[in-house]
Amino acid sequence: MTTFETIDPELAPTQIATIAPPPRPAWRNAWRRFRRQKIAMAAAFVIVIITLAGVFAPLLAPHGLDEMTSEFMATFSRKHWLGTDNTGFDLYSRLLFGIRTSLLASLVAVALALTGGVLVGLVSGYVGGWVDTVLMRCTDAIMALPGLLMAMAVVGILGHGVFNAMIGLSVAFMPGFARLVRGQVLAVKEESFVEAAQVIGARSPRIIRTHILPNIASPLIVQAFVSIGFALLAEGALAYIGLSVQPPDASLGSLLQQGFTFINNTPRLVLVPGVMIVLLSLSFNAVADGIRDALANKERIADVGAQA
Amino acid sequence: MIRVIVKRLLATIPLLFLITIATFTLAQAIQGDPARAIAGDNATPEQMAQVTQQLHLDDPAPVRYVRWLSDIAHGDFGNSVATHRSVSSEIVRRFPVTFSLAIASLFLMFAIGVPLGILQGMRPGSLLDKLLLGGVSFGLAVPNFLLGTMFVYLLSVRNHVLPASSYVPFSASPVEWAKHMLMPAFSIALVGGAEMARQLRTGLVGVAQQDYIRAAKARGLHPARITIKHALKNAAMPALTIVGVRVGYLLAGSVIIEQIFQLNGLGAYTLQAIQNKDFIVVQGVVLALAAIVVLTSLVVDIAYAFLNPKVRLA
Repeated sequence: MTTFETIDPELAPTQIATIAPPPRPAWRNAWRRFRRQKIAMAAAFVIVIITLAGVFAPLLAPHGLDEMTSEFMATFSRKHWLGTDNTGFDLYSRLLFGIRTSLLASLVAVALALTGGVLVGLVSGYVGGWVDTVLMRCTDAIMALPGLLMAMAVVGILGHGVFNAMIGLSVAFMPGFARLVRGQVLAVKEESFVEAAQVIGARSPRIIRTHILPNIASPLIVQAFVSIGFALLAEGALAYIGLSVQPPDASLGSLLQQGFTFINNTPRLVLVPGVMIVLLSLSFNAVADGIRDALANKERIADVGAQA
Repeated sequence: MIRVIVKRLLATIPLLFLITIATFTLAQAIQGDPARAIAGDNATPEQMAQVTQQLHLDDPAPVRYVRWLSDIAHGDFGNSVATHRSVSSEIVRRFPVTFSLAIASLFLMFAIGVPLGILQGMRPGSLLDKLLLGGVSFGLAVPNFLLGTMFVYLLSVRNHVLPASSYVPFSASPVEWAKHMLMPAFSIALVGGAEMARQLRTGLVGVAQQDYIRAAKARGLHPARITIKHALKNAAMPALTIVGVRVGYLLAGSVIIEQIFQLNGLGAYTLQAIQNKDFIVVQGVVLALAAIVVLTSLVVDIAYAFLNPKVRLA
């Protein structure tokens, strides 16, 4: 491995002076430790496969999202791998489209929450003072409102639809991220390399970008993975009460909800999307655990469960 | 100790104040056209004007906010836009259902989380620990509504073991109450219980390295005694936090679970109100739920101070 581009220029002189072996970049070490964990690797593999299935759903699905076939309630067969439902839709095709919608929606929710949370947390932790107090009291207030209720209320305001539901959910996730970032910023801010940067006159945006953000990234990544798992479950919950996608569109949650009517005679309609939700959420949690362990000897990551 | 409690109480006041603002804003955004919603679709302009005047809908939002706040201070949450019933009496009527659900869930959460956490924490790395770890991960990944429906299907529809719906007041028959609460409460409690087991395990594993545990071992105390008497007290802190964090989840979970088990609690009320754009109900019931969450975390914080002298001194 070539060394010089990996050395932090500010540390370079000391490293050359001591002729220490050049350190591997931290993420490479973490990846090595992550790779050794069988469960996390298996989970990551599952996520990749299912995500690919979702991304290429339009190509992979044998039938269209709202294409009726001539068979109703058909069971597993060559022609319909997972059978058909009461309207004659091919369940396998709908499952692929459902994965696509649910994963995309969860990613959107977490990406929004992450962006908002990082902004609020950075400002709160870095600026401090009354700004910090005001922002933190506001996140407290949002945290006191149960997350799912918040999402429901936002759907009430913006109208039904999976992405409105996810905007609502992101509002609920945001305080968790903001708190996490704030705590990390407070810790990193006291480090001597930040002080050094301040002393040589670096401006705040630069300090935040080059010194603070890279050092708080890992707990954020863990939290993001945990939150995606939660978002998948929350989408399911919202779909169950009819606040997520509207038919004929499909998400994993809406497939479940439609299946519930027929649970007595055809539990398959519930079990297929149900197993998929559990599998996905299980995998995201396992990957989050894996990343946490891989980074564990460097940082202690606060176990801040997102409130879903 | 008293200083901690007073300080914490004082910090709650601005928080509650902020929550009223958030709730009011949320409800304002939901309402759409309240005059039309109240007067009905075929209302004449005169009727609409009358409703607008009655509810002071013409006033600017801050004025309405202050009026709402003073009404609440007098215990008046207003009347539902859709049913014209008093929101406060409806909350009082439905509260026991949701409260029962929450208490039963909390109880089950401890019943699941504490034994599992101790079993795992006593022998980390053992086969039992590994099996339970798998179970705990599974518990964290199963959505409560899926669990609830599977219960109804397996235990009520297929094998009439437990009743599927409706609520029996505790005062009427404690046994029937428990029977009716078991499935819905378990559906909500599983996630919290799994999380608690996990926290407790981590806590116990961490505490096991401490000197005072080694000292207790050296004195030849029974391992179970060490775990329960010495380790548990110190490992309990993070597990206790889960209770504070999870109360909001319990209440939100009740929205879904009350639908599945046809319980007429606050969750069902909230959902109905949001769907009807009944903003007066929304602001009332959301505020009530948020207040419950805040008060619970207050209690948890004070319990913290009791358990941990360090917090008391801070």
